Amino acid sequence: MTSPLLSVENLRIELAAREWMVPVVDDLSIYLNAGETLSIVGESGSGKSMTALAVMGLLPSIGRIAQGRILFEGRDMTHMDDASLRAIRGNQISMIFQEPMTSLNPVYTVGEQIAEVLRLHKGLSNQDAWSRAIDLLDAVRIPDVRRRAKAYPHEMSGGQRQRVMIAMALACRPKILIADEPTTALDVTVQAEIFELMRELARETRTATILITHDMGVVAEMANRVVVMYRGEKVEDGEAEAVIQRPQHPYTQTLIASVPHLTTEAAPTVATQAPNTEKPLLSVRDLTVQFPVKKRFGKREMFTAVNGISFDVMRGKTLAIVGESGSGKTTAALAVARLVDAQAGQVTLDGTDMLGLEGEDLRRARAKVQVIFQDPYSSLNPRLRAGDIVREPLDNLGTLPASERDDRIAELFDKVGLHRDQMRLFPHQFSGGQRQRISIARALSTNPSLIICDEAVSALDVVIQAQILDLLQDLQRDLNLTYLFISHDLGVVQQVCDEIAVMYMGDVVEFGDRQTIFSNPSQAYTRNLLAAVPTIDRARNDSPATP
Amino acid sequence: MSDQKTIKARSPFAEAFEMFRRNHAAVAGLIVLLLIVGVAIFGPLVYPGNPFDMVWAPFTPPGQDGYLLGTDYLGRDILSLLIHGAKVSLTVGLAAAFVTVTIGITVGALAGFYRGWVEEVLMRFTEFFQVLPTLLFSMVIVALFGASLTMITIAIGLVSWPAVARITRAEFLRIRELEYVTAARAGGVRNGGLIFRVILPNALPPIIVQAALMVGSAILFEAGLSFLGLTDPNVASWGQIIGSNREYILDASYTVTVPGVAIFVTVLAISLVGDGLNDALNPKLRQR
Repeated sequence: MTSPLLSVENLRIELAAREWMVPVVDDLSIYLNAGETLSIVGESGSGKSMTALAVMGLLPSIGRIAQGRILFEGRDMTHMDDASLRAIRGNQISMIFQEPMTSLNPVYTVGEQIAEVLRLHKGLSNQDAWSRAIDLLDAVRIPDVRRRAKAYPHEMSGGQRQRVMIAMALACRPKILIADEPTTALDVTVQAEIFELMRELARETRTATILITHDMGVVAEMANRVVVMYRGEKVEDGEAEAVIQRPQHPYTQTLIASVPHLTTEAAPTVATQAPNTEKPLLSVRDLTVQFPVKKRFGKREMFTAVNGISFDVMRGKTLAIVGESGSGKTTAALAVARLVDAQAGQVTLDGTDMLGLEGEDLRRARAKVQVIFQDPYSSLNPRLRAGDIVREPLDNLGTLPASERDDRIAELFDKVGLHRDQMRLFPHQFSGGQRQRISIARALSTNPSLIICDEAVSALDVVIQAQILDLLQDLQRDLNLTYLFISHDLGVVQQVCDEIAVMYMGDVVEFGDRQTIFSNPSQAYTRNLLAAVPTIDRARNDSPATP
Repeated sequence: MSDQKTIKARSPFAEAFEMFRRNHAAVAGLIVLLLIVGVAIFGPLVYPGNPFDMVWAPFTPPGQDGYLLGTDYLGRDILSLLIHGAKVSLTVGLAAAFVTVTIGITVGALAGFYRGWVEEVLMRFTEFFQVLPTLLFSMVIVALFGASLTMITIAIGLVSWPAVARITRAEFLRIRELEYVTAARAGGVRNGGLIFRVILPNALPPIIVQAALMVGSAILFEAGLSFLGLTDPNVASWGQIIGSNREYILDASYTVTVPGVAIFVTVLAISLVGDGLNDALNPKLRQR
């Protein structure tokens, strides 16, 4: 066997934190052979992205390689001068990033940006570079390529931008492509398309790929081999299939357990009761939400985000609204909570006509609907202590006398699994999962009849995600809560919901109980959504490119 | 949950202070500024006497006959003028900055929070003030309403607030879309509470920086007006010392240089503190 294309030996990366250096990657050894796909898996902070940046020679200024070697074709990159490093970077090893929105330059057309890379690295003439750029965009399946090459990044969708990034990364026919969570910012159906593209390209060009991800389902679908990282160290590696079938390290086992299995078993939550005998807690009829987009010749044009949708939610149940970004699912939910204005329709919550409320009546009615938001970093006021964040609704809406509020807050902290001492701390002193627990405590504080979970676990690592989902389900059982659960992730939805509404372009295209939707979806769009979810079970039918 | 050791609660402002302390230039600026403030408060006690008294021969050079900084064209003690002027100049600077911030925050917060026609009206109003030639406009105000210190302070405040209003509005536009504001609304917080207790505290950092720099530029502005003779002749501000001696700038340059240096050092110290605040309060510059 020949020596590997890339090998990392005993790598130790340290970052400066205040006065001392903190290791973020320690004693890491990996190798990559030509044409294969290696996946590095781990949660945020596990050091997987730092490893990728180190291989690219792009460590942030506060980081350094303290130990170890990175050998590319037998040459040690850690001791290379800038000029030789530049010759490798982008040329022999290239990278695609997580966020396709910010990694393209907004003032040049996508075609120009790819041609620029070719001119720089390959010394092609303007014309040759342009025609090669067209070929590349065609290779990543950009439709109507001659016209689209002249488009600016903001004129393309997220998926198309990521395709452009891939085209740019492949422009110089690199030997290694590093993809750092390339689909995290994309919808599942788009993710499936991008992965399909990457598999095909790997087969055609025999480019070796390092795929960084936190999702074992992705590993199962894409990788030949896998390295599992935990807190800066490699805890397990091997053939992807072997690791998934027989994970040795407990952390790997947790990761695999948290991958959704799209099964059709009965809901583990609340036992099914006789349907439709009681009145629904929330009833939405013909809800329409429009936004003004722009004024043209004095005329105001309206964009319809939610197009006359109807649904019911029974008390103690969970309705999931599923759809891609832009489908109107969040807007619909926020309109129910009167946090976005609806143009038409009727929303009845617990006997109250929500859309008819104004002023002080509306403010008081807010106690009935609370929201758990997506982003644990922007949903908590950074100037308030955790206890005061939970207190805010109590002070404004609660019926509790002031003297009992402290006890109530402490009790809520217990309920969501936080320590009472943590009430004094500020949001930035908590981890993402803990912050989401604070959000949940805040939402529970007014004893609402309905809780809207707006992508409440989407921003969390899989393991933390599973913990928060468990917490939400425990709370639902104990307190008979009703959830309106907004998500793009069918795997998550399947774990928590009783019924599902699938939204597409402002309409509910399919509505049904969980079992029906998952086992027997009637709409093509729902089937696409289901097929796009990366799972371990199905993965082997569609195996990755063989090296 | 993992049992945590007792972590100290650290507010964002406590962390900012920690950052500020590490910035040596800013700390030096703060020390100088505190010294000047000390002079303004305690100086008149240590060095009593009416600064307008003609105590010695005019144009006595610094150091001669016991007058450390010399005397001006009327034979007044420049050191005494300087010490008494410190209080006046700093007061004008602080008061003008206060006027600026009050108007600026009110206009900017209302425009940024309510959007729509409120924003249209308030921002056009702001732009109107922004395009006025500031020196000319303040001279007109002072000329019309009299050259009292209060009027000068108000005039400076009136021409300077648009910058604060624009910063405040921009911060409000950004913060009002954040989820914690929506969460507060869902938690039943009224509009007034949203503006003053939820959004404003989070919008403060750039406003504080702007206000600090405002103090410096207000001192300069007052000096400029005094130099042009638009000042209260009965009050000894630093600018007024320069203004009254301006005809002797070639013959007795120290009469102008000494108060000039005082203004320069003060404004520099304030700028250093302002920059330090900017670094400390701007989370993007904070490492971690």
